[in-house]
Amino acid sequence: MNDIDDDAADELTLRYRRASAGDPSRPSLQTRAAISAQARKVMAHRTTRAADEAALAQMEALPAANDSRWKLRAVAGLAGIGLAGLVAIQTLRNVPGPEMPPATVAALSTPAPAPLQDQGPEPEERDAVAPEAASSAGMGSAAPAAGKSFGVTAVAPAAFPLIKSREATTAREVKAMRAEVAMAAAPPRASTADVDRARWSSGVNAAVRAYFSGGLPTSNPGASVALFTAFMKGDGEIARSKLEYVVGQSLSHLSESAATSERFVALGVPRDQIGSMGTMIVTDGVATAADPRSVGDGNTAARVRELEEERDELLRRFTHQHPQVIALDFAIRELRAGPGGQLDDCCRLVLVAYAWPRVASDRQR
Amino acid sequence: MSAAIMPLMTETADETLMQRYARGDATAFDELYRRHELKVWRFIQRSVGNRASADELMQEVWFSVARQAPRYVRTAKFTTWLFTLARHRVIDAHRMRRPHDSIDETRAHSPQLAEQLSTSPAENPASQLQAWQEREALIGAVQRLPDEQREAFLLQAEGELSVAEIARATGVNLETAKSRLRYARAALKTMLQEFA
Repeated sequence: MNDIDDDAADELTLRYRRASAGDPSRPSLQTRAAISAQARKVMAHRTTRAADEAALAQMEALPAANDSRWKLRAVAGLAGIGLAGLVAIQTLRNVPGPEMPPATVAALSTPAPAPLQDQGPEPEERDAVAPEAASSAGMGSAAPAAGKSFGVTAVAPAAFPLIKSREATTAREVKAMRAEVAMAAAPPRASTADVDRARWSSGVNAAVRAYFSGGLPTSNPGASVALFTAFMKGDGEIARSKLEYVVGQSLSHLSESAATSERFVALGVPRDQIGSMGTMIVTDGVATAADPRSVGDGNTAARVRELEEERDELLRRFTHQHPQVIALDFAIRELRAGPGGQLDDCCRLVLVAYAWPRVASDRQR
Repeated sequence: MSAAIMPLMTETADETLMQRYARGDATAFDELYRRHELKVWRFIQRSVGNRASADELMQEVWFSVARQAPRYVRTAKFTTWLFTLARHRVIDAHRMRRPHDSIDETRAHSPQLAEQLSTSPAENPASQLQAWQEREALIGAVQRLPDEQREAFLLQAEGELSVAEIARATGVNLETAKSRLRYARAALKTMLQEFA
């Protein structure tokens, strides 16, 4: 039988269609009404959101009432006055001064600002800052080479929550900042949130490892992936945990002590596909993603919808046998079963996925 | 070109309607729903065999359509995508099916013969009875097919998907989709021998 024959509606199919057309079963009126209402609600929400975003963009385009650029201008003006004063004094006293760039002189006479975050220093101002300060200031803006000299490479300007002062006036302050930055800027180009996450992840990693200091439970030799799931309390302590394997397409439970909601989502899925329940992936012991701020949003139904959409999106590219699709299927099923919702109230849910073959081989060594 | 075909040619494509809905045209969604309501409904109902579940899944499918409209990209026929969504919901429902759910529930809730006979007085009651029996037998037989065969058959018969589209929607290769269809037809023919 060729493709055309298979595609063509045969006599049986036609009979079925006739029979089906005669079947008076219909969706209930409530269903129809709900669908229609939902379609309009979603559209209205979308429209409102688009309008809000447009309004926000318009507002952002306007200068803020508390725009601090006037400070720069004021300080620059003062520096200019100071420079003029110095030149005037030297001229009047007729004393030969040292060979200094005028901007450096200004820096000595006036505490010039060294903006570290939002706006980079003007070239004149950058030159006017002492070398160390200039390097630190450059880290936050347009001087990656200077940043490298302190072991911090090209960290984004917003990555310095620990720097409380925007003005670098003394070498001591600059050194303090440099130390803080070196601590905070482990991942290159880390944002503030990334720094927080990295710290949080490392804490969780430590807790997990302490909890299983005797090693993870014995592996299933046929397992392709193992999923370790730890339920964390708000203070980071592990409340309970479980280990499971995925063998082929089926899930094998080693322990039924706790149900999880999103563990399979953690299977190699990038963070932006994982969701908002506090998920962390640890592969070979290295945390790669986490978002402690979004733990326990309590909205299981919304989460299910999100996951379904993610799965539908994946299915446009992959088959149902794709690991990510399998992971999402399990996650959706378990979210619907409800335990995730119960956990939201009391526990932080942390998911840790180990790429099992690597873990197993590590243990064999 | 016949007059009957002309309206089909000028009808707005499903994909265009989706794009219109994504841009804020609610009537486009209504039109999409009107076009595909019964097909999707029958696919779901005959897959889950439970009217209440079918209603619930129907809502979920169309809610998904509404939510995903802005992200909808035309990579396949709209119906392929739509029935893929429906299929996912059906699979989810099977996984969560409670032990007491019965596939017979559907037919138990379907309108009874007496109700239908009274709505069409012009026809001979005997022929109506025969048609009703055949319909019940055929639909019942479809529901008794193994899941994968029923799914393939319904995607073709209700969704009007091609074999390639069925393969895509179900995540199998072309040959597997063909085999499922063939087995489904063969099984149905066997079950319906008395009406042949």
